[in-house]
Order: sequence, then structure tokens, then C-alpha cells
Amino acid sequence: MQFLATTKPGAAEFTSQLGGNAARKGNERMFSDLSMYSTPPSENITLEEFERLALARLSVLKEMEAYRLRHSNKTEKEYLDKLNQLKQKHMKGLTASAAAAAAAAGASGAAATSAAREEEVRADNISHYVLRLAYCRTAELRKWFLVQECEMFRLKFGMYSAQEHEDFLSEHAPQYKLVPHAELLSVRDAIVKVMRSNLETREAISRVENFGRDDADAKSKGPRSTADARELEPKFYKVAWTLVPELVSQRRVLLRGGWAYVSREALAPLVVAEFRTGVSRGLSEMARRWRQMFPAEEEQRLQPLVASLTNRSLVADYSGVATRYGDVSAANLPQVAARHFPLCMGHLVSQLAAERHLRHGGRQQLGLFLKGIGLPMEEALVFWRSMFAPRCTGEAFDKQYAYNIRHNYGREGKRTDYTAHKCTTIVGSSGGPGDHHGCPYRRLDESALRAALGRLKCDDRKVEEAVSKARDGHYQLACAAAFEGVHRVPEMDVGISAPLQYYAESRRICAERESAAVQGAAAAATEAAAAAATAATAADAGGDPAAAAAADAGKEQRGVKRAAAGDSTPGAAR
Amino acid sequence: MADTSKKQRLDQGGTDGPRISVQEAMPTYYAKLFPTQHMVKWLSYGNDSKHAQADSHFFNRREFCFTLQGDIFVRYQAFKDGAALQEAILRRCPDKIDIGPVYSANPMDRHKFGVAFHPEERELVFDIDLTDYDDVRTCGSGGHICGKCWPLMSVAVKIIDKGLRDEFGFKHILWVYSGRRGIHCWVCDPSARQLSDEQRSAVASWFAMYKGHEEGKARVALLGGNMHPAVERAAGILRSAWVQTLLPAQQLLEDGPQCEALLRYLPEEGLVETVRKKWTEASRSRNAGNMDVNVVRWRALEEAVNERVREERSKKGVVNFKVLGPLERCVDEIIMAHAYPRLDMEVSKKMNHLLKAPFCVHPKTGKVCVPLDPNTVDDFDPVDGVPTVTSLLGELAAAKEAAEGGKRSAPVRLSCQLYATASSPASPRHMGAGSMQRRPYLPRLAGASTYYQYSSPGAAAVQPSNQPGPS
Repeated sequence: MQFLATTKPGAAEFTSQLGGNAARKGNERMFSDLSMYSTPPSENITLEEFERLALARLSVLKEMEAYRLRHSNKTEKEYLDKLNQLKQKHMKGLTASAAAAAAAAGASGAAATSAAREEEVRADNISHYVLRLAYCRTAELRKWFLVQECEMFRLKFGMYSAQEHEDFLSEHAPQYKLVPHAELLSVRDAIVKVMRSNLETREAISRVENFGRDDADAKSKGPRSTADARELEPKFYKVAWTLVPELVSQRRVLLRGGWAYVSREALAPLVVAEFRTGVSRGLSEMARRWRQMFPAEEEQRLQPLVASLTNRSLVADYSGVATRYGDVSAANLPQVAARHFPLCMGHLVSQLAAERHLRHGGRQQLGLFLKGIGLPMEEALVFWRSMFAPRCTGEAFDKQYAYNIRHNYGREGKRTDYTAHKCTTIVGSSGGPGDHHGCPYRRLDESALRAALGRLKCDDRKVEEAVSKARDGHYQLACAAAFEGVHRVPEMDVGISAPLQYYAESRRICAERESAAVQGAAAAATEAAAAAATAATAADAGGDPAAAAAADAGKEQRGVKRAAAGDSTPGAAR
Repeated sequence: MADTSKKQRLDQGGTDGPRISVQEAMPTYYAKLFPTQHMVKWLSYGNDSKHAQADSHFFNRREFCFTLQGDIFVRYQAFKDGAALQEAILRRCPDKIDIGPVYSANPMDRHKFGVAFHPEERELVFDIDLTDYDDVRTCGSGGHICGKCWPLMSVAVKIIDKGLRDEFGFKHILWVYSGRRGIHCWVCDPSARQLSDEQRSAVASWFAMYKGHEEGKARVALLGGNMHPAVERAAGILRSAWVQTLLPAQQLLEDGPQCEALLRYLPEEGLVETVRKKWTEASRSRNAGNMDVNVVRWRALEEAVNERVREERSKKGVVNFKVLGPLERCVDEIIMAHAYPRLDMEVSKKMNHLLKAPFCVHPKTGKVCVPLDPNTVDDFDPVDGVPTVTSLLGELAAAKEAAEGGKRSAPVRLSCQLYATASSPASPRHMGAGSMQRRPYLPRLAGASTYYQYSSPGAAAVQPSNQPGPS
């Protein structure tokens, strides 16, 4: 194709229009695999490369996100390894000139590696900027991109060595001043306490503890040990606390009069914050100047391409749930809840039914979820009013609660279309003694959890598995175990990352089983005027793929299939 | 007009006259006592001055929210100046006035600006409610407040106030009694008003130890046996308050469910047994009972834990930290779980969260949301020590009667009196013999580098408002 053969200015020029930053180009030292992305690329590339690089980076970001969701308890090192592995998988040898460079430098290994590294940096920069362009359109997209990029940056920066830190810091954060010797001595003991309270390593603590104490010793031991001591000397930076909200919120620093004493090791969040503001500002700047972003003659070709990048979603999206299984109303909600709700929502529903009230956190968690599964606003109002009924009159309800429900549906106030909470939000939310929201695997004690799962008719073995997972703090895995136990399915290939996912999976499995049963029943009916027993057998034989896969749980399966067949037979008769 | 007739009734009745409802009293309260002008002066932060840097539209971008009778919220109100605010208050006579952030534009015109309309500046605020302590207070629950649970609030004030000043370096902090069951805090430093939502969350988390409830226990984040200096400081305040006020007031260790719940914090069954044994011994040997039983039992509990710690430490071989850690922690854990301030985090986290203005009147109790002095917060009496709207109007009437005898005119005096009790710390220069004259908090002005002071003409003659006026 012709437009591929001629190199086009498209990708190169739009970025250079960002202005300002371009002037700094060249001053910035390139770190081999880390960049603040303050300089947009300015070169000509083919459309093909443009798209290929963007998709590769997108895959890395999305797979990394999925990996994190599924394995929330890995160490930073393991995450970094995974990241490198993903980069290797998606980004290697992608750029058009990479192969050529490798071939040309084939003879000398050193030259090849340096060329490859340069190529890597280039690919990294271009792909970042293309995605930035694609993900600047809506607040939602910007947020996702920002989170993923920051996460990646944080991982890489966190694993840097001391010297690299120093260099990077003097480059990007010259405003942070080292705490002078005398001042550090005066706050040393307090800093030691902070470190102890954060369970830092004994080695790190003793380094601070001995700071300024072993001067005399060092002198007597001669010059070599003084040099060593200087090498090991702890370094602290004095930073306005507003720059390190992350450290402050976890009480990981010493605060004095608005200044935070941050160790060199803890500086990573500072730099990440700076990175975040930089990228965030760049994103909103791009969104604002979207129309000027593309040269007029390129608009036709580039815009659809960029727009399509965001649609190639590899992330699970549950917005389809409402349309696929949109038969939820206030009337059938209790049945749906009993069959398909995850424990966090089922628990809220039963508490609501028992107490005829839920506190704000619970109303929010359940209400947004109900919205997510497709309960229309009018039905939601009916549902909540009827649930609150004896305790709270209709009039009082309209006054106190109706506004909030309409607000959640985006019909009041700033009219935001709120989405249902994900597991990370729910697990992280805490409440007082009267609250029932949050993740039950985290909040309920073991006996209450067992009882609750028992009520869901969860398989006993799986109940134990869920309880033990919950005990170890793997709440989402516990939820997945409960799902397997309730639905009698073999191990799920995905963990539970949102209540809506649980619901969608549950609906899917039940729908599959029902249709299988219906088919079975229908087949039986057409074959002959068979007896009910025969129909049941046929339903069994008709088989459904999901249940058939669960070969290891034979006994329970029978029960489930019977139940499924029983459920659907009237439907088939109609 | 109804308004004037009410006033007449008050005037005739004086202090001994018929009691009138809070709602009836509100128009007069707003007309004669509510310090609108002072509020405007505060919330303008110097931008109402002729100073070159003063932004004359600053106050006009501040959101007010009125709650009218029947729980009708009227949000996004903004006013040009004090006169406009005063006029609106008198016209609508709201049950409650909330203060919101300063937006990028006049909130009345927010639809014109779309996404460009966003909060720009807001005091850092805290809200602590006694309802959140319901599981650890024995004297009542829900909207209840009394002298027995006030110590919980007063330690909260002390801990947060000290932290805000020493750790975060804030200076202009206003504490207000919220009118019913809690307290509010307004940090007015320019840097505090500029904080982003993330930074606000960080401050709130810095102070938050209470992480919700798990397995029937309040979960407090005490990692290891070592405390962060900030937590240690708080623990120091709590430890002394615990024995002096909290334990005796809340009677946590008298037999009952509360006591059982508290014992659950002890990490070992055997330890619980030892403690119970000690308690029965103590009750037998207690002579005349001049010591509070809760304190006696607490001392016994501490002793039992310490004995157990010593025993564990003296064991041969490597110290088992899995056993020792929880033992060393549990005493502090109990204190923290029961008394550490429980913030309503959501209020502090977002810039655009509304908070009730000082000097509002609680529609049920009629109590005025008066400022508190953190230095004397222990002595504050939330039940009888708070002026109510009816008591103030009574004084107003009495003062008027007195004025007819040739003294100073009543309204001015009463507004001074309100300030005398309401506004915070003591100023020697205003002290009159036997009066409890105080100086108000002084939020530093933005732009102009002067301090803002309430003017109180004739303040020296002022008597505390809780005592009947001179007859």
C-alpha cells in the first residue's frame, strides 16, 4: 500500500505540537528504561508502526493489570519480572528499524546491545505518546491510562539502585534538599521510631540509629572504615508534606511543622507523583487541544485509528450485563438475589430485609450494584421504598433517601453516571459496627462466614476453602471458591474482581444450564410422549457443557442438573 | 408580622416569660444575635479589604447551603457581601446553614461553566461524632451526649489539635461544638485551604487509627510493638485521660457486656482468667471503696498483663515474639480501640463536602454551635454549658429591661455576650473582673498580613452569658 511505503509525518508532528516541552529536548538524559515522558517524539514513522507500537504497549498494560488483579499478593520483584516478561513478549523487535539495526550491528555484540537499547527507548516513548493520544478523550480513559502508566513507572523506579536514584533525583527533583548533618542528628531518634513502627528492616534501622554515634570509632579504625561509613550513611530529604500524601496517609514519615523527613529509599512515591502530574497534565492538555492535535490533512486517517485503539478492550467490562440479563425488577429481585448475588450483596439484601434499613455505605454499595445489573431507577425506588417500608414511611423515604438513589442514576446533582464498586473498592472500605457493607470475607468472623455460606447452599469443601482463603487475606479468591461451591463448577480460570463479574458469571452458567435442560426436555417431548422420568433422564443426557466439564464433582452435579431441569421444564411446556 | 409579635412576647416575658419553641425564636436570633458580619469577615480572609491583592469576588464564589424547614436543601447559594447574606438568612430563616467551598465561579452561575466549575479552595475540616463511638460508650447511643461521653470528645480535640499544629504546622484552627453530639474543626491556614482531595485524605488517614470493626473488636492499626511518634504522643494523652476521666465516666470495667467485650482484647484465655481472679480478690480487699472500681480493675488488668510479659521474657531460649508482641500491645490496644478519635473520614477527604456553619442553632435542642477552646475543652459542658437560642433571647429581653434603667442598649451588649462565651481563647486585654472574656480565633488573612479580630465594643463590661444579666 502506498501510504505505508512513504513515511508519513502524522504521528511525529502531532506530538511536537504539544509545544513547550520540545524546547527541553536534548537536555534530558535518557535513562535506559525509565522516562518521565516530558519530550514527545518528533520523527516520521509509518502508520503501521504507529499502530503496532500502540497495540503492543496496550497489551503490556492490560495484561499487567489483569496479572495484578489476579495475583494481588506477589512481591514487587515478581511484578517486575512479569512486566519484563510481558515487554519481552510484546515489545521486542517491533520497531521497523530494530531488525535492521540488529542485522547491521550483528558483528559486534556491544554495539548491537546499545543499538537495541536505543531502539527500546524509542519504542517506549512513541508507544506511550500514541496511547496518550488515544486515551485522553474521556475522564474514564484518562484515569485508566494514568493508573497503569504510573504503576509501571513505580515498579521500575522502585527497583533502581542507590546511585541511579541519586542521578534520577538530581535530574528531576532538585527542589528536595538533603537534611543537613546536625539537623538529622536532632531528629534521629524520632526517625528511628517511625522506622520501627513501620517494621522496616533491622539493618536499615540500625544504620540510622548509629548515625553520628560511631564517628569516634570510625576514626580509630582508620580511613577505610570512614569511607565505608560514608557509603552507608543514611540520607534524608526534607520535603513539604503536601508532596508526599502517600507516605503521610500511611504514617510512614516523621512530620515536624509541615515538613516530612523522607529517606532516600522512600522517595519513589515523590517521583511517581511527579510522573503522575506530568502525564496527567499532558493528557488533559491533549484532550483540550484535541482538534489541533492532528494536521488537517491527516485527520481523516489518524483519528479513526486512534479512536479505535481505545475500543480494543482487553479488560473485562461488565456494562453488557445489564443488557444481556436485563430482566431484573423490584418484584423478582429477591429470587435473583438468592440465586446470583455474591455474598457481599446477598448479605446486604438480607440485612436490609431484616433491619428494614441500611446505612449509607451499604445503600451505596448495593444500590450501585443493582443499577449495574440493570434494575431501572423507577424499580430501584420501588425496591428501596418497600424494603424500608414499615420503619420508614413513604414520605420520609422520599425526603431522605430518594434523592440519593436518583443521584446514583445520574439524575440529580452533577449527573454523573456512577458505576458499581469493584472488589478492590469494597475490600478496602471499612465501616463501623452498624455497617454491613464491605467485603464479608474480610469483615465477618469465621463462624458467621460459615453460616452465611451455608445459607447459600455452598458445597462444604468449598466453604472450608473459602474460609481459609479469607483467613489468609485472599478475599477475592475466597469469593471465587464460594462461587465454585455454590454453582458446583470446577475451578474458575479467572478470580472474582467485581461483584458484577460474579453476577454475570452466575447468570451465564445458569442460562447455559437452563437452555441445555430446555433442549433436553424439548428433545424428549418430540421424540415420544415420554413419562416425566424419561424427560429427566433426557435432560441429564442432553448435557450442558459447563456442567459436563465439572466431571470431578459427579454427585453434586446430578443434583444441580435435576434442579436445572426442574426449573426449566415449566418454561419449556409454555 | 409574626416576627414582631414574637419579639414583643419575648420583651414582655423576659427571662421568666413563657418558653417559646426554637423555630419561633429563630427569626429573632438571626436578626439580633447571629454574627453574620463576623462570619463574612472570617470567610473573606481579607479579600473584603481595600488591599491591592484582595479579590473582591472571593466571597461571592463561596457556596452556602440552607436547610429550610421540612428538610429542604437549597444548595449553591452565594452572596455578594454580608448584607446580602444577612438579608437571605432573615428572609428564609433556615434551620441550618452549611458552608461549602470557594468555587472557580459564582455557584449560582455554575451551569454556565460546565466542567470548568470546580471547587478551588476550602478549609480543611474534621467532623467527629459520638454516634461512631456507640459500641464503646455505655451512657447512651445515637444522638445522646452527656458529661460522661464528653471526655471522648475532649481527648479527640486535644490529639487532633496538637497533631495539626506540631506535625502539620497549621496555626489557625477553629473548634466548634456541633450543636448535638459531636464537634467540628476548621483549619483555616492558607496552605490548608489549598489542599487537594488526595492531600486531605492523607491528613485524615494520618489521624485515623480506627479501621472499622472485625470479629467483634474495633481494629486499630498498631503494627508491631513500636509506635509512630505521632501515635505515641496520642497514646500518652489517652493513657492519662483513660484513668482520670474515661474509665470512671464510662464505667467500662463494671460487670456487663461492655466489660466482656473489653476482655476480648486480651490475647490469651489464661490471661483473662488471671484478670478475673485478681478482680474478685480486689473487690474483697477493697476498703471503703474510695477508689473507683473501674480504675482498681484497670490497674489489676495492667498488672496481670505485665506479669505475663515478664514471665514470657524470662523464659529460656529465644523470645517468642508471636506471643510477646500481642501481650505487649494489648493494653494500648484496649485504650486506643476505646478512646482514639474516630473521624468521619468522608467529611475531611473532599473539598466540596459541606459543613455546618458555627453559630447555627440545632433545630431540636436549640443549642448554639459555639466555638470551643482546645485548652479548656475538658471543662466544656455540652449539656448545660451551651447557650440555647431561648436562653439567649431571654437574656436579650432581660437586658432590654435593664436598659430602660439607663444602661447600655441591649442588642449590642448581647452580641458581645455571645462572643464572650462563644469565641475562643482568653485575651488578657479584654478581661474584666470576674468575666470570662475571650479572644476569638484568628484565622490569618489571605493577602493582607493582619490578624482578624472580633470587635467587641464595651467588652470589659460584659458578663458571662450563662449567668442572668444584671437586674
